[in-house]
Amino acid sequence: MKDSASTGFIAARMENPVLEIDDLERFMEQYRTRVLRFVFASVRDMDLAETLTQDCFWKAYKHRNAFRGDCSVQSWLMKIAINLVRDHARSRRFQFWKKAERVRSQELHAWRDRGISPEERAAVNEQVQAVWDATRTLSERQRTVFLLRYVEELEISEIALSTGLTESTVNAHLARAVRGIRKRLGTP
Amino acid sequence: MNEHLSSEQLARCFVGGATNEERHHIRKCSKCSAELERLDGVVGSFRRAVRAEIEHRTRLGPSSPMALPAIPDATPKPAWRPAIAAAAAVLLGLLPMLMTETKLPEVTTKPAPQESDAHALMEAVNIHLLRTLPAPMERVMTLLPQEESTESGGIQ
Repeated sequence: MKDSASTGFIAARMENPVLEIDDLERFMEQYRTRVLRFVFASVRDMDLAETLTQDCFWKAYKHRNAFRGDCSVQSWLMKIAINLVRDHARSRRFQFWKKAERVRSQELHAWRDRGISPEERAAVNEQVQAVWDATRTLSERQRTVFLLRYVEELEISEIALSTGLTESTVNAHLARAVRGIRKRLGTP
Repeated sequence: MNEHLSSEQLARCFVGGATNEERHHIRKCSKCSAELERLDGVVGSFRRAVRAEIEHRTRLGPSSPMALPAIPDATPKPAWRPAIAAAAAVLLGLLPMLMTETKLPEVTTKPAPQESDAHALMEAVNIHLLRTLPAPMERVMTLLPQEESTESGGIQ
């Protein structure tokens, strides 16, 4: 009985994605990490990323009735997150952060690849840091599509929906981003 | 095609936009395929690093706790409600002052002129009704000699 009720609820949510957003706590629990990760990798500041992520969910909740379900909830959320990051990048406040970051570049501390030698680990860390730094030098669109593809592992079609670009444009930006990062990494 | 793929071609192959010719070259060229593998490894490490960073930071707890946004009531409040409430508050505050200032004049002076006006009006109406002649004719009647009027009255 309980199973059929929950199946009915899931089916209703699939038909009407607004129901999924209505339960804000569950909605945030489901998507928060992804949004936070993308925003953090974009703005490179955890406090700011948390604020923008919260704004993202608030906007999604506020405008949930405008969501027509023509893309997945995740793509829709990413679209909101991309716009928030873009708006912030254009604001003066973010210009301040950008300047501050030149002095204090945030590093990726937590990552420890177990099972490799310390020498190998040092080399990989150096490469990871190089990619992290290279993403900063990319254009806004190149960085966005790169992060969505290679950190969030979204499909090209989903990235196209989230960014409002065509799939071929996404591919072009992605190739340019990879070229820029490869250049930064240097030849082996 | 040249000996190896160009930087542009390698990037295109990496993102999955390789042509048949490029794909064929990668299968044959160990250097180009190794370069693609290296790139794949670096990007994979980067992905794991970013994910671990977020997991680590969220496990430590957000620097500013991420509270759920305050959910508004199901029925949206009309925008004019706060304005009405503010106006009511202002009026309530001013009411005692207004009452003390206007109480005396309202009670003593105001009704008096209204009553006298009413009386004057009623008098004017009475005078008008008591006229034996229409008002415009009264002036003409004053021109007539008094005797004629008595003579005519002398019929009696």
